[in-house]
Amino acid sequence: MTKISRTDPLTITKDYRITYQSTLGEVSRFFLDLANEGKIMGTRCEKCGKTYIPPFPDCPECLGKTSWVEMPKNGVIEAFTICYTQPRHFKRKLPYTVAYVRLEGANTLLPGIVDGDPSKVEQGSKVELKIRVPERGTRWGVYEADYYFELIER
Amino acid sequence: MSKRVAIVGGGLGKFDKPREDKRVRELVAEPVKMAFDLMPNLSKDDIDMGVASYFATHFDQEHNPASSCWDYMGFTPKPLLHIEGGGATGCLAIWAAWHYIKAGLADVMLVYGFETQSTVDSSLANEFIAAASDTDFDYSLGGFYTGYYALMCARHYHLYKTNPVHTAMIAVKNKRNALNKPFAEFGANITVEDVLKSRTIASPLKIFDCCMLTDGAACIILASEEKAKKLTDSPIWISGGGMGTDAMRPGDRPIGAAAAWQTGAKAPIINPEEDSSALAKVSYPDVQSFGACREAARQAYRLANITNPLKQIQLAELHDAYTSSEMQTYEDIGFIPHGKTGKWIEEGGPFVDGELPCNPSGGLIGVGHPVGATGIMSTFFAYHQLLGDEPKFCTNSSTEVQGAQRAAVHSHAGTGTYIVVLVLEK
Repeated sequence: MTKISRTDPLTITKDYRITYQSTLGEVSRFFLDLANEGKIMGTRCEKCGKTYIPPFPDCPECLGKTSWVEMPKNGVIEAFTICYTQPRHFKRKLPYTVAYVRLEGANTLLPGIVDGDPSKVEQGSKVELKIRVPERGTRWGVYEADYYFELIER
Repeated sequence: MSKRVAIVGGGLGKFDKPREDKRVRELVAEPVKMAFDLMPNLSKDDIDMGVASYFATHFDQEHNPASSCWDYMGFTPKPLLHIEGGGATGCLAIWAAWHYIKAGLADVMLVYGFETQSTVDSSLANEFIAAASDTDFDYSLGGFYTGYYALMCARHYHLYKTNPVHTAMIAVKNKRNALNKPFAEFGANITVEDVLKSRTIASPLKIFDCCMLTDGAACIILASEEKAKKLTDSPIWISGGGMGTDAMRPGDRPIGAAAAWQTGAKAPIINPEEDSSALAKVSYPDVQSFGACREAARQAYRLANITNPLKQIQLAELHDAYTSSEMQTYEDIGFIPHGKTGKWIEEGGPFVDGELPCNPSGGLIGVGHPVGATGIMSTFFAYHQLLGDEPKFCTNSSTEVQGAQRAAVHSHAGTGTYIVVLVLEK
């Protein structure tokens, strides 16, 4: 709907709605196995030996094809932040903790929400990846985290 | 032999949110007219080509503003190029224009940049900006840039014993430096205490650690040596330019896939005080550093014959989208050895009266960050510092860096994916 919201200077208020149908391409496997099999899948390049999680279907080192591998669920927090704000559509309880976690055997860091009390989170904290199987009809995958990390009590 | 390239002029509009008095094309015409007013010898006929700098067409629902601005100012049918590279767009556009003149394909180039971010509410504007990050993983979890920079900052604090006072000092410096600038929107006389007490957005970053969305436009005019000498008595040379890139997801940087340095597998040393073994101890750039900046600086310094940036550069305009990213940049641009920036900030190194003043303009935090205009604004102030007439654009001379011969200008895109470094000299 277009309307005049002010006359001097003449200001027009207008809506622009977009519905995208974006493919996740080969990375779909990550989200499908997460939801259907409860597995966290990375990729490994046999030639370079690098293990990527988040997955790279093509190896950025040698441009070879990588293979899917199930990743261990334990890891270490390498960096974290406690967020006190969020995009409108996230609707998470504030504050929430986001961390870069190095899963065992990974060459890259996986970002994720750390569940629980933010004040307990530290650099180097050990965590376990948990999978939250989304309810039917909820939007899982890209804009909702359907995996998260839980601190392993020392 | 490639040609020498000079900055011969520029203009700046008032950064403000909203700039509802002008639409995009009028907003752009403002600094362009100012540049022509400041250069009586320059006529529109002298301009061979334009480069338009803007980040997101989502902001005004106009999908070819490059052309509408060009046509509005009457430069058709001359060639025009649009450059987009996130937050680095401004200097990326100047860097692109520099190539055309260097190659002898054009003599005079007009680079104009703008962004109007107040056309949508801040929350949606932040979504547009965050859509320039990795949309599969990072965006889905953080959803806004402050979160990513906070992660990187936290890692820097942890590894290099920097702390919130160091970043707060940068906020104090930049907001105070902007106080004497009529073009600036966010100048303020604040203290370290004020920053530390301000609202946390994503720990450890507070609201005063962040730049703000705004509207604005700026332009720069570049010329070949022959033409520059006809247009002005005081050309400022772009003696070096470089650009580097890095992985979209900071979490992918530990693999080093994006850091395949031209000099080999190891990160280049660009500061003579830097100990390469210290650099080798961390998986540089990892998430705490900007490898793209080191690569851009390496290229720029090689061309400008800079072997000791801290001694050979007298002022810098750095892309301070966050106080933390300015802090990290001191190291990656080679001013300070890796991991030693905290002490340098405590000693007042980057302040106007310090060893190497950084952002005497006030930077993004003090002036504002209308993305496509920002790097051009930074270049405008560095240019006038070297000309020695910076106070002409300020209400007093408190931010003048007297006697400066050489400046570095740096522009940085989302989490360090694109970084440009330019070296300007008299």
